[in-house]
Amino acid sequence: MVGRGRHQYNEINAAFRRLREIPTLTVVESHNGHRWGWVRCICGATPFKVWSTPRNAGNHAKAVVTWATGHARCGKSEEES
Amino acid sequence: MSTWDFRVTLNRAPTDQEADLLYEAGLDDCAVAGGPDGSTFLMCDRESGSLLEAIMSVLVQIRSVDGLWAIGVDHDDAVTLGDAARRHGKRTQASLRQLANGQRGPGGFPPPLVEADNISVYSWGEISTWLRTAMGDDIPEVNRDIALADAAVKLACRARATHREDQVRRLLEVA
Repeated sequence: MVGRGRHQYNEINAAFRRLREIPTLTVVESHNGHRWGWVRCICGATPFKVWSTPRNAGNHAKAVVTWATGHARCGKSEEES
Repeated sequence: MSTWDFRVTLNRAPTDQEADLLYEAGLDDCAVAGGPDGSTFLMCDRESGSLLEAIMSVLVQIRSVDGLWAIGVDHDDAVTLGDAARRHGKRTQASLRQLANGQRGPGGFPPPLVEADNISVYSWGEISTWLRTAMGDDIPEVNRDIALADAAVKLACRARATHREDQVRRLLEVA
């Protein structure tokens, strides 16, 4: 399930929309320090920290989508365990 | 100058305060995240003259935060076509896009792992295998600079753990 937070950069919001389709991931908006929030996987891995002002929003969006592909099997692993 | 993508594994997960220090050290072009195997890493897209220079600049910035250091360097398997073109070195992003769309080549280019609006992420392993077998491209199995950086980081870790940093530094100078 994904929270309702919107990032100031459209590229990152587009990435969040894709993450919304992955039920094992949760987007959390927190606004602490330089962090807009984070994306958490049910596997308990270190969450992906989303910067409020990344140097390049397109690359940051790409990174969160790339990270999500690495967690694509986490839901299946949880079911099997 | 090009933008180089790579991943640097950290010795542990940074605290929230340490994550902010990493950002302030200049790592706002890197993302802090972890894998299902429990590792924590920086996913970097660093602009620099070369991949090794890009990696070195990130390592320096990590060391500026007390208690954090790199324990490995590698490539993510997931890439955009732009990343793939830079890793390939002899094909442009446009060339790969034409192969992916079937406009050129024999067809059968690996499909993306995931697509999000204008971001399409592919498997570098699948792309490089297809380019070798279908197009005859000469692509090494492991990127030479990534392998060098990873070996250097691991040597540095061992040197620090055994308090042999000065000796190892001199060893590298004379070897």
